[in-house]
Amino acid sequence: METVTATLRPDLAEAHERTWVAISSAGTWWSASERRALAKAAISAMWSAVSEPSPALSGAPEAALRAAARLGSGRPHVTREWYEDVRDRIGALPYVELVGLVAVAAAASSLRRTLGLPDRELSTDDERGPSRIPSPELADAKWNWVPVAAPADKTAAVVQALTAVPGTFDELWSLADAQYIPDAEMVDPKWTRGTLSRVDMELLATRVSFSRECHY
Amino acid sequence: MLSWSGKAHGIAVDLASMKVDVDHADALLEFALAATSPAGDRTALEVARQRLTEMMGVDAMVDAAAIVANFEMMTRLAEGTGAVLHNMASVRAGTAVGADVFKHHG
Repeated sequence: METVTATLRPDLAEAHERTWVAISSAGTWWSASERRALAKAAISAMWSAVSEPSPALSGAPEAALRAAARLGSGRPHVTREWYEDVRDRIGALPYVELVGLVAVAAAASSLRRTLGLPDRELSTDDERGPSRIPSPELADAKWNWVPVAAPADKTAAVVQALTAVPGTFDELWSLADAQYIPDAEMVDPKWTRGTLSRVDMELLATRVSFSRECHY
Repeated sequence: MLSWSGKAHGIAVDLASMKVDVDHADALLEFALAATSPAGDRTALEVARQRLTEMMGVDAMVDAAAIVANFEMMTRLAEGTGAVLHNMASVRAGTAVGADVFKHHG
């Protein structure tokens, strides 16, 4: 069988490079070393389908490592009670950042694996602590478990989900623009990069969501 | 979103069975399934990658991998934050997340 050699388009390559750097760097509520530990727990669980972190993993609070592994594996599905238990252990805003971190780490790992590229080592250059940049004014949401930037429930639930931690919000949505559809083009059902049609994109999206048993 | 985009293109879509009336639909579905398998069947993934590349070209295959990566990301975001469908009209129309409210997230 002939091996397919793939080259990423420049904006996709840049977005993923930014993501790998961000995963390895200090966040708003987690230090750089904690973020690396959490990302490793998530990626490891994602491909092993084991929702418990490896005993060898350390570098972050156990409750956070367990949450990262559970969200990374996607199994079993989490519940509101589970969320509230984790939130009470690690804090609501660190939890929001953790979800965003797991999500972008899953994307970064997925792309490399799907294209047959070797796993990437996380840089250990950054030793900074969390920035603790203050959050915007927060509100309880009806469409999400997590707190969001006020006012709540004025935009789609996935869009408002990370607004309590703006740095995490920016990391995820800049990656989505490059991977899927730029924000401004989302409402155009015929938008294309010249490769896949919008129907092709949505068919793939539906298949992945179905595999992950995602109701959204 | 699949029904919505299919309607705009005049392409028949059966959401329940994920049947879409385009030639390469099976190759796309096989590719997405192989790419999301946690057990990690590298041979199946290689075969799916090659088949899709032969049918649609390497740039389309890379973009398909990016879409898969995006929804590995979005499904975890939705699950972890307890995101719920908020717009029943969108649900009925098959647009799921409501394309109308996606604009201007930044």
